[in-house]
Amino acid sequence: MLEQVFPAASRTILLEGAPAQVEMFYNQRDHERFLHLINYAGDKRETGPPQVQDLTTVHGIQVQVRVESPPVRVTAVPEGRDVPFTYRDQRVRFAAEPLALHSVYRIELQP
Amino acid sequence: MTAPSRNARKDGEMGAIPSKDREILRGLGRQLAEAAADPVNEERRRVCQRVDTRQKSRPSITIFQEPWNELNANGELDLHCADPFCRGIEQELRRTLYKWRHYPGDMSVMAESVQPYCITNTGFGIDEDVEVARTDPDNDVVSRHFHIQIKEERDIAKIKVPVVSHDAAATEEGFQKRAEIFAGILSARKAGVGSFWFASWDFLVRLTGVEEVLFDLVERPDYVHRAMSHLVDC
Repeated sequence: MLEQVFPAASRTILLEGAPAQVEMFYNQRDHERFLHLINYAGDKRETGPPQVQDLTTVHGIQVQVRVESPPVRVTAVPEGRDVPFTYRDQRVRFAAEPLALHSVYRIELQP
Repeated sequence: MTAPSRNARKDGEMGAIPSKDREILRGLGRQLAEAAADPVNEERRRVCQRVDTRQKSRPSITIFQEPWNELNANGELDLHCADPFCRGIEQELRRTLYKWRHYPGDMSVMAESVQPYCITNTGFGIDEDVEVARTDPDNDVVSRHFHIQIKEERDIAKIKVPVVSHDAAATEEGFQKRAEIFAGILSARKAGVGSFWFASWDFLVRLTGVEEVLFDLVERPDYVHRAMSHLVDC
């Protein structure tokens, strides 16, 4: 159904291999783009405290982000590790690092 | 925990029970008692117990955070009581019964009227400074623009430890009134905090700004950790 109402080709961000509890935020600032991935392993019940029973690391998430020009660099931040990437069809593509709880990727475009 | 508890008594909230209000509530109480007698309650409790104890089971189904302002198409949710205390009970009962009739999922009900302890707190000493945009005056879900109050390390101390207090007299008064209103229909009991919802991020971003704190997580992670640590310690 999602594919019918919001086709993958229309989306700014595509995650492959991400289970439903992986949420994301996307920010931009000048020539930088920031993608936050969050492993929301807790439930969302109304009564009683949400129960976080396991924080299972998520492996193998493939990320695609549509950007207007080839990136100069992709880094895992705040640590600043370089992340290998490719760029084609106006999308930067890279493999996310194993997601324990929260990861952020900075995509730097040409200023 | 930023605002006084909804269980708190407001001045003038509990007076004598108007007879019309009493009859309205007793009628709703009878409907609740009838629902509580349905054997399906026990079946649904077993589903929830299996999920909570991590046994193999189908998932339990709950539907919540309803847009109540959009659901009252046929007047089922209209309030008819005059007394504020009674209106509070009436709203709770009407919503429970509405849910029971139209989309129960795995909800279960009991033949009781629960008086929460009248607990208040002073909040964190700082609350959102916000501009609100509404598209529907009856909808409590609104769009907010937060004015940033915590920008630097020194601002973190604006978050204070709340002072919590219990108004035992108000709790007792509410309990006695429930017992009187529902005599012979529902049992009355007092209950403490049944659930505790503390969404630390939801609160902190109202003070730091949403986008700002996302950038800070990248550029000043130690500052964000200190702010969050102080908040949850409070």
